[in-house]
Amino acid sequence: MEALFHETISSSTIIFFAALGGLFSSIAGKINIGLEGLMLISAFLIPYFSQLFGNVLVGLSAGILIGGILGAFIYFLHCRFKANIFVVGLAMNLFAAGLTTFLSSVLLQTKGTIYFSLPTKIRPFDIPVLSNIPIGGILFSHQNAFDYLSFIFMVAIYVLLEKTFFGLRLKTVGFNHKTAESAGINVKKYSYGAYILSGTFCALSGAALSLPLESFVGNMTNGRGWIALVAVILGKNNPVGVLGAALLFGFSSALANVLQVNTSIAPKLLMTIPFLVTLFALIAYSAKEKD
Amino acid sequence: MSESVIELKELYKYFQVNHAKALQGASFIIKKGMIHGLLGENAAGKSTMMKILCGVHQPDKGDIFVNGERVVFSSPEDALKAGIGMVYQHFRLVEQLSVLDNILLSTFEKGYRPIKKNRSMQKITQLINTYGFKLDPVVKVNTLSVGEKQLVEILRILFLDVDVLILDEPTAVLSEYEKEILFDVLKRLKVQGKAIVFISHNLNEVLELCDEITVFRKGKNSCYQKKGSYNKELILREMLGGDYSHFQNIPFKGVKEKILEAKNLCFSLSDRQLLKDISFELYSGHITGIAGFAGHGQLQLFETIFSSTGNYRGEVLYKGQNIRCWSVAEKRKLGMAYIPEDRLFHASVLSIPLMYNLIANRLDEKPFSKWQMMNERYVEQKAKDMVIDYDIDTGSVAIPIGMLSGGNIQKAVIARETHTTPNLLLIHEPTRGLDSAAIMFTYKILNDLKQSGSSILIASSNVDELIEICDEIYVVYEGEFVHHAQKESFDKRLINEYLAGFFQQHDEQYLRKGNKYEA
Amino acid sequence: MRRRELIAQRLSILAISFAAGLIVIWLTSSAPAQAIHSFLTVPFSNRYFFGNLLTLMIPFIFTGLAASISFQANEFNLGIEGQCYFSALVGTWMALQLGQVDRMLAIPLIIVVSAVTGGFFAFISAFLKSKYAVNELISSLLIGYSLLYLTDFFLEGPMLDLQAGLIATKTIDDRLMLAKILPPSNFNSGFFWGIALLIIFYFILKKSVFGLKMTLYGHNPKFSEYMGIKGSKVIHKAFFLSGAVAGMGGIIDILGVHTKMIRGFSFGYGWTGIAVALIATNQNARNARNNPIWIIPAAFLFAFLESAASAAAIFSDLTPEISKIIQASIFFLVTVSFWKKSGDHQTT
Repeated sequence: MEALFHETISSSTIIFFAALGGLFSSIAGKINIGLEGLMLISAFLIPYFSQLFGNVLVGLSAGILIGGILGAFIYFLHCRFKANIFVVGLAMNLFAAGLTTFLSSVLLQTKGTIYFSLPTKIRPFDIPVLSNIPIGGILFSHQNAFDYLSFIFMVAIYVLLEKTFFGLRLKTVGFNHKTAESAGINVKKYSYGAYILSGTFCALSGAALSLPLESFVGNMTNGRGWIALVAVILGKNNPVGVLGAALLFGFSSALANVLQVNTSIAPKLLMTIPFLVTLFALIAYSAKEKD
Repeated sequence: MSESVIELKELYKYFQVNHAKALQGASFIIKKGMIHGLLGENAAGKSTMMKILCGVHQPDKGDIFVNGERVVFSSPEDALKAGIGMVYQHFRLVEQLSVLDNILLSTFEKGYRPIKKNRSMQKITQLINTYGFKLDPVVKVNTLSVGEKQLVEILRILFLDVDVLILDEPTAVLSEYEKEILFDVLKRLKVQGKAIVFISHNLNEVLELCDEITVFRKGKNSCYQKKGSYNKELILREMLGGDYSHFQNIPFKGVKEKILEAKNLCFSLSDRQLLKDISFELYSGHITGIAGFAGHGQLQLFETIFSSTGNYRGEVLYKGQNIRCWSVAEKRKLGMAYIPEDRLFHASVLSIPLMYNLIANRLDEKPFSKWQMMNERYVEQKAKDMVIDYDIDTGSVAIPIGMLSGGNIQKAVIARETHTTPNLLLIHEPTRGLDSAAIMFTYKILNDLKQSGSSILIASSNVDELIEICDEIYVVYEGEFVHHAQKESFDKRLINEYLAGFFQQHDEQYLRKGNKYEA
Repeated sequence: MRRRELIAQRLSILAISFAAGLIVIWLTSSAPAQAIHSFLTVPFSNRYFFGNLLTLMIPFIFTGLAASISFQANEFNLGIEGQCYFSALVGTWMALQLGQVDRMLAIPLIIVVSAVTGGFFAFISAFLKSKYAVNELISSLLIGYSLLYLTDFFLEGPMLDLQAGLIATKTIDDRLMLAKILPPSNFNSGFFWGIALLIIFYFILKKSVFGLKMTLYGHNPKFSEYMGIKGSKVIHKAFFLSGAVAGMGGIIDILGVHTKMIRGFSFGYGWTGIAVALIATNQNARNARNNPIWIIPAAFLFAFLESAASAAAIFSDLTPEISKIIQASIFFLVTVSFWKKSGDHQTT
């Protein structure tokens, strides 16, 4: 049971970060379809840079920077060249698949699983004192840095979106460009900002995926970016809702993994669980919203 | 205190998108402590000029001077920082947020700054008291009346310490009472030294309120007058210059048959009731009008009758039959047609050839198609006939409809919907955006349809038009019919009052909105 | 956008992408001239290589057409990969049962079964959209992923051929294979099935009522509603057709090339098909009706890139993934419409 809990948190964290990325773009009115691709690129680049520079923080920063640039690039194509934002997002996903394959082949001469050796390992640890609290303590024990980070970000993003001018203006940009403009909001700036944030959070998500495992394999993200997208929709543009959805999906992932280990149900069938859960959640949500 | 002056000198503006010469060398001067009225017909250039002043557009030629110094406003933010703000015709408020939040949106605080609600509240309350607004900053905008929303818009720019306020057609949506409140506020602003530009095409109001008047016509200055020497006839002539369109209201000579009956229609969305217990009857050879400002349920009414979702309560009977769950295709077969308000986006596909747009309502009919294949030759021929019949100005029927001028696109839409001689025609804002010739043409078509026995239901905010062409009028206000009159007893003043929500039976509604009401 | 502008734009995209590729080759190869030479010429050098290039083109035509059909209705069928894979399995199963049946009867039957399977799963997304307003892009994707796993489940389990060296089904009877056209390569008559489908679809799109309805709906759903066109029917049919074509693509590849269903044989077909459709249909100019004929050159392009990269890998020190970089730049460049610029909007 405890294993299930911790698995859930780990899986949810990855989805949650990507979903935060999607959240900003969604609030700004133009949802980012390229989450999967952005995650994948970061999942490769971040451990690679960490190994290259001998420092995980540097690798992480480099990855986040690139993530932001790529996010901005998506919006750039839409803003400057009137590209259909869905299509650009799709292109980013296709691009990511090709790029990661190419880079892993050229830079590391491997086509299969790549194993990195990182100077600092991302391992689960307990937070002193807090982890000893009865019942609640489980939240603070045996998680890795990313999981704890996600708690912090949860609060920070909530404050950012609900309690500052930035949040108010971003929402306005999403409601109505004309209103935003006449309120003196620089729509372009906010939209770009939303997409840059989108990219950076996807980078964090990719890092959360590959750094703890110290490895990368092609198509590692395996649909998580899309599941994150659904989490954004289900969360109704509210960070708390998004967290809830991410937890749900993280749970389904964890369940599939735990069942794989502990039962003899065919693994491939179990791997459909997260997707089907996501699908049914989406159907339930849409059906309810329709009325 | 010197009179600070803003001068817009000889501005030119041409819009590529629809080949419109909006401004051709027009000029305008704004002085402190004065209300300057800007009059003109549609597309005379009034809004464009003010939008240039506010930084929304850039002029192709010409300059703006503030106190003698040349300035360039490259964004609305620039203009706001220079103390110039505009209250637009279509409000730009975020309905779901409160008055306070909407005002805060306009500020220039850095994004990461926390919202200091208290300090802002203080300033807002002060403004409210100084200028006589009657607003509660905490309420959500979607609970306010139209007049109150407008006051919020004014409050917004005052919060940013503007010295120049530009109001674009502010009274178009106000009741008599709300107009009084607005004028009172404007006069107080004037006393405090603010400069006001009042754009309108309502001559009487401008004469009453303004210290000076400029008339624009077709992008140029037409005349200028100062209070004290106003010449109303001259101004009218300068504004219009064209013929009035007249409609021959000939009564229908055939058998009067009840075509449509609506019973107790109710429709709500989320928790707002958009249609409240609507009932009416439509007869052949009869033109029925629904008078009302935009957004009072007309769209919902049309959708209830025409479209196929059965989301309403009540009944719609076509010649006695309940058509509630009938599909649009079936309704069209019965002889219903619909010309929606938004002709460009709901009634045509701009990138598709004209000929397909013209017959898109009859795709499954023989001989337009046979065995599921389109008969292109027939479509082309029919389209050519329609182009001639409806006088659509185009070189070919194969070009995308978007390449036609706006007026011709409208004609094409009217052509498509009326060519089949529908038994029931629904039209929303029939003559919006049309020039005089096109208006006359539309009226002729409506008349022809009427004489051939069709029943026509028109929704419009143009009371004069409705009085001219309808046989009976209903007035809709917030989803309810509040007035009904037959042709013989049309009372223009009464209809206008009902339109604007000023009516005797609804005291409690009035009090709830905080308006005072004197019996 | 006029035709000439469109062609010019497409050519410049190609030029830029190839230039990007050449630069990358230059950077990563120790003998760039040799690499570039192999890259560009080997695929055309003899029947074997050229034939295999054409063979690779075949599934891309199908998946490209499948994606294109959904694009016409302004919908995105992202489950093509899954539909293709699972339908191929079903078709393979069918083929294994029909060992003794006459070829003229069996082959069309197999293809139809695959088509219906693919169409069915795509139809689910359309149904969910019309009934519950579920975003079809996401639902088709999620179902697609699930189908991939489901197929693998069967492949690794009930349908596994325990004697084969890899994860695959038993071999299909020789008689049911599609005729080879250009031996010794694998180029087969499936190509003509693809072209035939393209022509049929072109016909449907331009000449039929359904084609017109689909175009109108794709451009303006509200308008279509007012005209009496049932949007739900349009997307039902469009998605079904899209999935059906995807399903056909998979089984034809099996019958034409692989002789048995091998795990992962169609990896990337769906996404490449989407890329092909993106190039072939102009997403931004909103032309009256897109011409699916462009799918052929687009499919050829992608097939060329893959073959060229493999060839370069054999004859020089290049990695075959080089094709991905060129593809990648094409993806982005295609999303852009060079000729459009933002303008003012008219309001007085």
